[in-house]
Amino acid sequence: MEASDIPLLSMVLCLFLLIVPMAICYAVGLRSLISDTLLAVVRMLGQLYLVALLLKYIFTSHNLTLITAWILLMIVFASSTVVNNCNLNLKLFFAPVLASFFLTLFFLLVYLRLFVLQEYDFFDPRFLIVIGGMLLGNSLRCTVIGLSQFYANLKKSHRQYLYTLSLGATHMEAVIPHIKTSLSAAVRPTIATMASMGIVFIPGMMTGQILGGSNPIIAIQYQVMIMVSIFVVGLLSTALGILFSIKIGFTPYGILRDNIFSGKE
Amino acid sequence: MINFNSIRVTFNGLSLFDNFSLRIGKGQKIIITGKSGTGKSTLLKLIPGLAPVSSGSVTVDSTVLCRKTVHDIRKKISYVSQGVDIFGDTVQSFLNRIFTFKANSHLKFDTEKIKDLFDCFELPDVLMKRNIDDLSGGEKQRVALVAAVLLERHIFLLDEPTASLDVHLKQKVASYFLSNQGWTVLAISHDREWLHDPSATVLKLGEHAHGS
Repeated sequence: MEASDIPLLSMVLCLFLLIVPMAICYAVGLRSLISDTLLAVVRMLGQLYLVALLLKYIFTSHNLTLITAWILLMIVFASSTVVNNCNLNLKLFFAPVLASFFLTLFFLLVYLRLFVLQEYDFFDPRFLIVIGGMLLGNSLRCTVIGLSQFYANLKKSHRQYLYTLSLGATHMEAVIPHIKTSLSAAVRPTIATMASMGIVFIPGMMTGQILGGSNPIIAIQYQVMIMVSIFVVGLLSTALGILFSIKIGFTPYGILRDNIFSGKE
Repeated sequence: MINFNSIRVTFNGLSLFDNFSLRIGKGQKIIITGKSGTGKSTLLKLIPGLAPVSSGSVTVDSTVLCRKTVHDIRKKISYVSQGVDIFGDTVQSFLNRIFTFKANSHLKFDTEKIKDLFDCFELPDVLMKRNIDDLSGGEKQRVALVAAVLLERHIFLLDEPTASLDVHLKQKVASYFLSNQGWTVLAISHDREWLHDPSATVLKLGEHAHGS
């Protein structure tokens, strides 16, 4: 069984649903939210249709250069998104975040290919782009939470941090409590999602597979694989992002640099 | 022991110190006073490298402060900050954490000594179990002073250490630190208990500290 096509008219009717929240926003005077939503929907439609066309081409062509370029572009885009969303200085933080995403994704994809999804070719776009994109998208959320919280907490409690250094703590000893708090904040949503999965909600990937005609048992196997991978990649990319950025975020005396924030909070 | 050699310090584009020099000998007690914004706290922070100098140098025990020596210099200094930035859940966990730092691994968590210091600074024993957020400003200040003494260092940088204490405790704390001849003390204070002590040398910082 394959997923059935949604006709154009049905898609338009689906978008008609947006009239309900738009009407509520209009009634309560949230005019800016209406324009923001409309812009977001137009962007989503344009981006997804463009991606669908490109993916269709890549899936049929199996062009190695294109596949590699696509995944690298995703990493570059994810890195700049993280740094901008953390309100950090893009020039300083882009490279360490990029390195953390690249290493984490590389490790996870190689591991999955070698031990879990052995039937896929490593450069199969269904594996590299689809699985890689899903992992990257989820680790992006974790890294934004973790990295922003790490630097925001340090800025907020900077005097306490300096006092810790004065008590004899090395730079690493002084930042460890902040790393712990940030990592915990970064992965807690994923842990909560894993714990409530199947009871509170049926996850998107599983829903897609079942609607696409897969056996629910197989859909569950893929879902478990994805959730574990998301958790690992989220934790690793956040931890590496923080560790790689530490040398850049602090002076050689261990003091937080004052130019690390982008200033657009 | 501590030398400021022609230092220049700027903060937010303003010059706080320009060609400022000061020599502090071993065992000397310097009480820094002056108007707000004259760089008193910054001057203390320069010694353990917690604030940067634009030019000139700071030396502690003939060691020039730089990125390579900063950690070793910090290990010689006990610093009590103005805002009393003690951290952790309880007083006990704060004191415990200090002893987990590699630099303090040679020290023993001596409960008897802590008890003696608590008695000396008139802190009740039950305070050890109290949450830090529940302490008064004066209690926090005295816990920070206990921590400073427990580190067994010989240079004390105290930023308004008695600002939240009553006259009786101000006197007690001031004489505790000023009477120990082996300790070198730099304290910022406007309290007469520090300023009028015969062992203290008062350094009054002007609006801008230029060469001294």
